[in-house]
Amino acid sequence: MGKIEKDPITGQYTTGHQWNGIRELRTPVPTWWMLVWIASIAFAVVYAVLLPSIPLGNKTTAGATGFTARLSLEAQLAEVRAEREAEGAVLADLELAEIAAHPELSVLAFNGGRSAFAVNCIQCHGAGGGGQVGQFPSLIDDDWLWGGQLEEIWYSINHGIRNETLDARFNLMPAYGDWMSDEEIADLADVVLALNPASPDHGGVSQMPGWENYDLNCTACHGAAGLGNHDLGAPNLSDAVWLYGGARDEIIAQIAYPRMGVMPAFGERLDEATIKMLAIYVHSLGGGEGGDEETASAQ
Amino acid sequence: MSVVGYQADEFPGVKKVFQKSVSGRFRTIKSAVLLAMFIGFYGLAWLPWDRAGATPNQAFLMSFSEGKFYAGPLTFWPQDLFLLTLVLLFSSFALFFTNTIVGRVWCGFSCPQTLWTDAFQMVERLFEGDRNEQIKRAKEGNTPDNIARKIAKHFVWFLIAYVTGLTLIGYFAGTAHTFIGVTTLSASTTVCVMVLVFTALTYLLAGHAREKVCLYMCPWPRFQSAMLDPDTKIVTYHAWRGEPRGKAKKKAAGGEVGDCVDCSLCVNVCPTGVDIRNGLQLGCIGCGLCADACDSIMTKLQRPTGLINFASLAQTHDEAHLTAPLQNAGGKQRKTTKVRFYGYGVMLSLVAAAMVFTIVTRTGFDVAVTPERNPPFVTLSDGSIRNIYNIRLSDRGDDVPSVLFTVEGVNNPIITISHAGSTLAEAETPTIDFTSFTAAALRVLITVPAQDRPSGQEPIMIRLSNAQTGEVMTEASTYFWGPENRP
Ligand code: SF4
Ligand code: SF4
Repeated sequence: MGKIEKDPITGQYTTGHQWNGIRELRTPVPTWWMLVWIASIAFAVVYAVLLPSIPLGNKTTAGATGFTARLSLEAQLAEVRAEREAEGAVLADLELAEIAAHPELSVLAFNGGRSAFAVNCIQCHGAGGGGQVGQFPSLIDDDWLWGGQLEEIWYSINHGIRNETLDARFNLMPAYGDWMSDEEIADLADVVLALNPASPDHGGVSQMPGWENYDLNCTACHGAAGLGNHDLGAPNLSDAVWLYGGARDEIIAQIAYPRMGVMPAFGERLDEATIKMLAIYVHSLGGGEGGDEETASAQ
Repeated sequence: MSVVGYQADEFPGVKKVFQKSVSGRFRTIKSAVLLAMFIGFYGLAWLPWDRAGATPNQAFLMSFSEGKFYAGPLTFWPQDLFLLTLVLLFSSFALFFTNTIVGRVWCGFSCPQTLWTDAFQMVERLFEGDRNEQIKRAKEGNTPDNIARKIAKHFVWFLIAYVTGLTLIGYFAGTAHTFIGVTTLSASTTVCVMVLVFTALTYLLAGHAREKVCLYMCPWPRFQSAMLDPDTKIVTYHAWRGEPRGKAKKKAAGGEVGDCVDCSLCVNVCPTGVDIRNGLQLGCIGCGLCADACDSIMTKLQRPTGLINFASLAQTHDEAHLTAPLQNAGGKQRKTTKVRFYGYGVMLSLVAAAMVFTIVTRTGFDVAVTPERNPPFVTLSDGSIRNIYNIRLSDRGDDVPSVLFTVEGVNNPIITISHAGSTLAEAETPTIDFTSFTAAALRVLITVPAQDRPSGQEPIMIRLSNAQTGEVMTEASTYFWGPENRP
């Protein structure tokens, strides 16, 4: 250690250190830098006291404020949930038609329905609602087994189809393979094919060999013209939409040993508001039905 | 304090600049630019603009909440961000272009750092006097009078900084809202914090950092020196005429001296503390104040002005040597046509043209169409085929009350619009009401009768037109899927 002195050339003070006659100039850190440094240390201390910071194996010190990111997330989620609940209460109180007619609530319901659909429905009906031939009905065409008006869609979602609950939509088509011959069933399938007004055989459908059997066994549910019945969930046989396929052998198979789908009662899993949102979303996918007029004309 | 010991003189190069006021040509230009910029900056934030509907009525507003930028009659959407690229390109080329002609005029006359520093120094002079008085007060230290003046100065500085912060954020959050909201603390935390940040930055940069920004922080001086060429006009001290320096008396007596009387006025008026007589240097922002100062002395001594002025190196060289124009290395006559001048000029015009073209031809409507692919099509009861499209529309503000949808490429299409909550029966018309200044996401169903259905993919065009005038607003090409006919 030498004496602190001024370097004659630069006019700066030296640190007083000396190595082999070489003296080091003192170029101190600026004040503001030191102050920032001290402030940072102070900040770190305050931080460590107030917030979880010092790691202790698989946890950290608790911090005086008791704050943790997980708690704050939970609080935020609770806030969102409360908000949802309030919205849900509004939706639960209103009629479907009122919600659909309301400019803001309809958007809320549509968006809520879209996310509920993505969680609960797309497994069977597809992301676009297109269903799957032979398995699940399409929700975007204009043919509805149980009706495509808001209330009807709501009921189907709420109570489901052919499940064990009391109010579920329910029907059964007899398996005609058990008491009709293959030929009779094939004749019946030809009648079904001819029910479509676009079919070349349509004009002579009542003269066809299978007509007697159709009239006897099928009209009760599907109607004389094959238009189906929403109340019974009987499909329209005169149109171009076929859940289990519209080819002759597919129709034969369905008459002989019909397949019938099952859908859970979502009212048992989801709250009222969500069911309403789903109904509105599904309805606006493209295949919903509007007022009575449209339904009437389809009948 | 024990940890410190930093005194200005321990950092060679960091000396405090006391700037002397000066009057003259360049000072007048600078003041005019300053005035215009301040009126523009503080004033335009308050300019109202009547827009239909509930949209903001501020002429210039970069609305974060809406994601839109309003500039008088024009509205820019996020999809116009491309225009911002053009604006940035234009600004760079403008900077390069002016740089090749007159060096750092941007720095000297229009850089916000220069402008606000200039304004802050005017305030400083108001309270603490001109250079000599300031130096005197600095030596005196903290007398009550000096403290009072300092407080007054800092208060006014803070006031300017605060209004600057408010105005700047006002361009983003709405001026009236910001002024009232921040002052009464009812604005959002973000707005308050941003205003404080910009107040602090203005106060620090214009009040305290001043020339240090140009000397140590700003990147522009680093590469601008690479952009000068012998024909660029820069602030130049004509050494051939000024040197050797000497007393005016000596020259009058016929002595061997130049025109520079070494009065140091050029150094004292320099905002960055540069001695221009040492030649061009990084610290010189090209403000021309030294030229004003020198001219005033030359006029007093009745010598020709322009000992310091804007002159190109080539010109100075020629004058100094009284010879033929500067030679290239090969001995050929120096080319005076500047490739860069024309190059940047052309680029500048091209970018400007692209900007104008984009703004003029931009449609009032934007449409984006995504066909639903799951499933690609659906058969309806009567055998017709329906495809579903998710369509996003945005209206830039042309006041279009309703939009008509038409489709080209398939026969007899029926267009149905279904969107959030609307029942199909209500929407079964191909027009939608479109409130101006909105964006809409629609589900559009296109149904083609059985006999017209295409086999496989068929390109189509969705056209949107004004339902009143029939004028086509925009169109989007997409495709329509039909079932592939079985053989
Ligand atoms: S050097 Fe940078 S901060 Fe200074 S005047 Fe030029 S552009 Fe502005
Ligand atoms: S040297 Fe002259 S032109 Fe350059 S910054 Fe200083 S006063 Fe301005």
